[in-house]
Order: sequence, then C-alpha cells, then structure tokens
Amino acid sequence: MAQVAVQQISKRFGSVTAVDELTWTFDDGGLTVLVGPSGCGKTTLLRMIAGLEEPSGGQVWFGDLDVTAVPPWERNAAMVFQSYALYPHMTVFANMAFPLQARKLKKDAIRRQVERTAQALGIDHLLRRKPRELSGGQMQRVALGRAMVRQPDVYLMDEPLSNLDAQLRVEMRGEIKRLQRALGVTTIYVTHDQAEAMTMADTLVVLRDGRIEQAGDPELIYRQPATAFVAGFIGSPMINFIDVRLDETGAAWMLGDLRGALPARLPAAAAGTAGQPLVLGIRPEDVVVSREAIPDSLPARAVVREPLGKEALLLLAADALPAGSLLRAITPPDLRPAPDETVWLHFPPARIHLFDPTTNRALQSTIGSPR
Amino acid sequence: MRRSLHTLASLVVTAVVALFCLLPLYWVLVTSLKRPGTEFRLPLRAWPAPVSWESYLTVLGPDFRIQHAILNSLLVSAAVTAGALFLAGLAAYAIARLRFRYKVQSLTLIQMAGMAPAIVVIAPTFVLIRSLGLLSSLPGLILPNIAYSIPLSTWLLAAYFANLPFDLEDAAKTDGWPPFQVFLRVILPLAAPGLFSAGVLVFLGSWGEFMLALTISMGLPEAQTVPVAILGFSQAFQLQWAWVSAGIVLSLLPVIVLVLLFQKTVIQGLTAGAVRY
Repeated sequence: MAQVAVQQISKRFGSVTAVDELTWTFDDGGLTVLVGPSGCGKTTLLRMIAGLEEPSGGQVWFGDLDVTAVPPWERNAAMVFQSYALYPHMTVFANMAFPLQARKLKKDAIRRQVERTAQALGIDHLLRRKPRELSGGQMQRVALGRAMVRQPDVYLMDEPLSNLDAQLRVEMRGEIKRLQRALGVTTIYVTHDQAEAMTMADTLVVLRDGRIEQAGDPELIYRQPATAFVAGFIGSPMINFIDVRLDETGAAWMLGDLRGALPARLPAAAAGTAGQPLVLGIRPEDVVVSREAIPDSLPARAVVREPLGKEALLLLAADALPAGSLLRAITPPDLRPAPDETVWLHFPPARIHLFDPTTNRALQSTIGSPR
Repeated sequence: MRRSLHTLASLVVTAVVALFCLLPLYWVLVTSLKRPGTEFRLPLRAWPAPVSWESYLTVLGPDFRIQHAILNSLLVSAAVTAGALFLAGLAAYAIARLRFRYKVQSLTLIQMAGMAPAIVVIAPTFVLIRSLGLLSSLPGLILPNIAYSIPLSTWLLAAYFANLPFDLEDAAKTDGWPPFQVFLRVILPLAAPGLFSAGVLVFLGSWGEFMLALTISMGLPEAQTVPVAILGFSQAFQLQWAWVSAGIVLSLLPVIVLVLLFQKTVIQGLTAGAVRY
C-alpha cells in the first residue's frame, strides 16, 4: 500500500492537451473517484498512473518512489478495464492466476490465493469456465478478482461498471465499495456517471479539460460547487441556471420584477457592483413550487410533469426567462398542476448559488451552508 | 418439405462444385495408372484395366527421382512459411499495434511491392541471386519466395492483430508481464488462427510456385522443386502423360496429409472474425 501522487503531470496528443499540469495526492487507502465529461482526461490520467501512457511532463509517485519512468509491468498497480479485458483463451482460474505467475509465486500458493479471492467474490464455481461462457456480471467479477488476487499498491478502475445493466450496476457499486473498505487499498476509480461518483467516492475529483475543477468530499462539492461547471455536472436532474443582475443597492439580485436576497453567507461586497450580471444556480429540489401566489416568487407555467414515484419533476416556463428555456423543479407527488397552470416559484436565499458569468466561478467560498 | 428441398438444393450445388474440382484430379489419377503410351486409347474407361504401376516406378526411379524434388519442395515451403510468418508477423504487429510515423505509408509500400507481377521482378531477382552466388541452391529459392510472400501475409496478419483488443495487452502489462512475454502469452495464442490461415496460403503458394523455381534451379536437380521436376518429364524423351500424372499424384500426397492433419485449425483460421458456426 502506498500513497499515490501525481505532480504537475501533463499529457499531450499532438496539439490536444489531455491532462494539463495536474497535481494531486490520492488518499492512502481511500477510494478516490475521478469524474468528468468525456475528453476531460480522466482515463488518460489513470493510464499514466498505471504506466500505460507516458506523461509529456511531470511525475507519478508511489509512496516516496518516483515511478514515472518505471514500465507498467514493474509497477505494482492492478487495473480493471471497462471492457474487462479477460484473456479469452484462458479459463477463469488462469485469468486470475496470470498476475501471480508474473510474480513467480509457487503453484500451490497461486491456487490458494485464487480460490480465496474467487470465494470472496462468489465466483469459485466458475473457475474452470472460459470468459465467453460467462454473463456480463460474472465477467465483471472475474475482472475484479484478477485485480484483487494480489496486493497491489493501488487499484485503478476505468469505468468498470459501465457495461452492466442499471440494476447490476447499483449492486456492484456497493460491492466494490465494501471490498475496497475491507482491503484498504488505495483505489482510483474513473467514471463519467456523476451518480456513481457521488455514491462511491471518499474523495471526489471533478476534472475538466485536463485540470482539476474541484476536489474534496462529494457532499460538500454538491452543496458548494466552486464553479458553474461543477454545479452543472454534479447532481441530477441538473441544476437550473438563470441569468440575473445585481440591483442598485448591490444587496439583492433581480430577475424581471422579482428581487431576491443574496445568501446570508455571502458578504455584500463579494457580489460586485450595482447592475452587474450574475448567473443564479438553484437545484431542482431547492425550488419551492406553490399553486397559490406567495411573496418573493416568480410566476411560471407548468409545461411537463414527469412522475418519478416518490416525487415528480416539473418543467416550467416563465415570462422572465428567455423563450424556450425551462426550469426544473422537484415537487411532492401530490402537487399536480394542470398543464399551463400558473404556479409560483420561490428560490430560498440560503439555497442559491451565484456565479460570475465571465469566470464561471462561484462568488463565495462559504463555510458549510445549512441544509 | 421446404426444408428438405433446401437441403437437397444445397447438396446438389455442393456436389457440382466438388465434381468440378475433383474430376480433373480423378482423371490425373486414372492416367497415372495407365501404361505409358496407352493414355489416349479408346474407348475411355472410368478405371484402367489392367492397373499399371509402371509410371510410378519410373518417376521414382534413377532417371527422375521425384522423391528428391518432393523433399526439396517440402524444405522450401516449410522454410518459406516459417520465415514469412516470422517477418510478416513482426511487421504486422508493428503496423497493427504500435504508434509510429508513416505507418499507413509503410503498409501501402509493402502492398505495392506485392502487386508487381512475378514476371516483372523475375529478372532482377535472378541477377540478385546470381550476385549472391545462390543459383541452383535451396536458399536461393527460399529467400525470394519469403520476400514474395510477405505482402499478403503482412496484410492478413495486420488485419488479424488489429482486431485483437488493445485492453488485453494493457491488462497483461499491468498484470506484470513485459512486452515480449505479452506477445508470447497473449497475442500469439489469440492470433493462432490468423497465423495458421496465413501460413497455409504461404505454404501452398510456394509449393506450387513455378517460374522462380525454374529460373533459380538452372536445370540442376539439386534445386528442383516438384513443378520444375515434372516439367523435366516432358523434355527428357517425349511427353509421357502417365509419368506427368504419376508425378502430380505423388506431389499431392504431402499436401493432402498436411491438410488432413490441420483441417480443423485451417477452417478456424479462414473463418476467424466471421460468424460463429
């Protein structure tokens, strides 16, 4: 086990910069999730840690060892691939024994270790089968088993669940997290699925264009996104972004006739000068929807209602918004406005996020807003 | 009813195609068993009576020694197959799997070399082999045959390697195996059907190759392969179809044995990447 770190690491493919001078130290023994849209560099970063991709600059550290120039077969990193990458000409047993053979273990030691790991994953009855005789879920477990059969410095997982159906994926999320806890091996997990990232991460690292956009505790990132990008990427249904401006006092935001207080946590001076445009972000579950007029609210028309069971997603249009743009609000299941019925939306000051439209950064860095 | 009609139709078509291929062979066999000089005697019979082994004794005898040519052919074809697969395998692996500049161009270049008709390159090849002092020798036959075989087998193998998932190589590397071991333990086993089908094509190509063999052997029996030796039957005294036929039948035997031995693998290789059956 070792603390894995990257220092000012870069990767360029021709004129494209996939990873841009990125520095991060991964929690020793923790599960760090790299998340971001496709092309953000998360897989490239993972492959550089594995040694499969040579960095254009910077270093990779395993503990206090600089492994940047060490080839993958001499690094002690176990990788799980999106495609599972099971060797089709070998049995499950041979697949799992393969990394142990590379380490020149004795035959009976290999057998014992493979059997123990297979048992822990519930695949001990499959050891004699070939990969093509397995279901997707079973192949996934074998791929995990091949990584877990040895004691690596780090587990690297590249979207290991994305080929599974939705139900199995949720089940395996928990399973991987449980196994990771039990083994206590530093794990770096790549996904583009923000829900998977939120549920699994001890530490969440949001990447964009080869840089870290924000990193830390997943719930804190959800509550206090540092940029509009993070706010938009983390959370489903997606956060609402509304163009507003500061009023003449500089202490409230304005959207048409509606005036709203700035969050109490935001120092008045932080917002900027009177009349300055801002982007207001509010998560769908934070929008208060009322069928009767309430103070400090925005009249809107219900356009579509999507029942989700325990709640419903309401899509709303408002005259104060640009034509064609819809707001999303999560509402209790018993709130059922008729199509085109006028409802009133309230944005609680404590729940709004304000972003500078030029830098896209959040206006404040507050300490734990109450929820 | 429909189903059995369908089966019947495919049976008939298969039979026609098989007859088309096998009838000439059958005729060669029949001719080889006739007494020399009686090949064209009428009426034609489905089976010669009496069966005569005279032609076989002649072509195996001291005048012709076709067994010598068969051995030469086997040596040449085996060496060409091994050499071409090795070189084409390395080239194909690089083209299919490694990143380097001018990759597409190098494959195009190899392909262009393969497009030149044999007759175009025969004169320069002859001069080259003469300069190397390899005329009338098996190496003089093997080296150019390897070169001729490389374009097609590189192309076949590159297509095959390219279809192997990259993740498998990466997985083997992170599992702790260095590149050459990855090649041996993962790539080659997975490419075995492809190597086999390329190998069969190369082997048969060089087994039947005539023009180069004729040119390089310079009429000396030491370097004669089967096709050249059979040509010799017609020049020696007169055209004896029974001898020629006996030579052809004998030269087919090793190939038939090889095909029977590797039949299953060959079919696997030729249909690899196609539908499963």
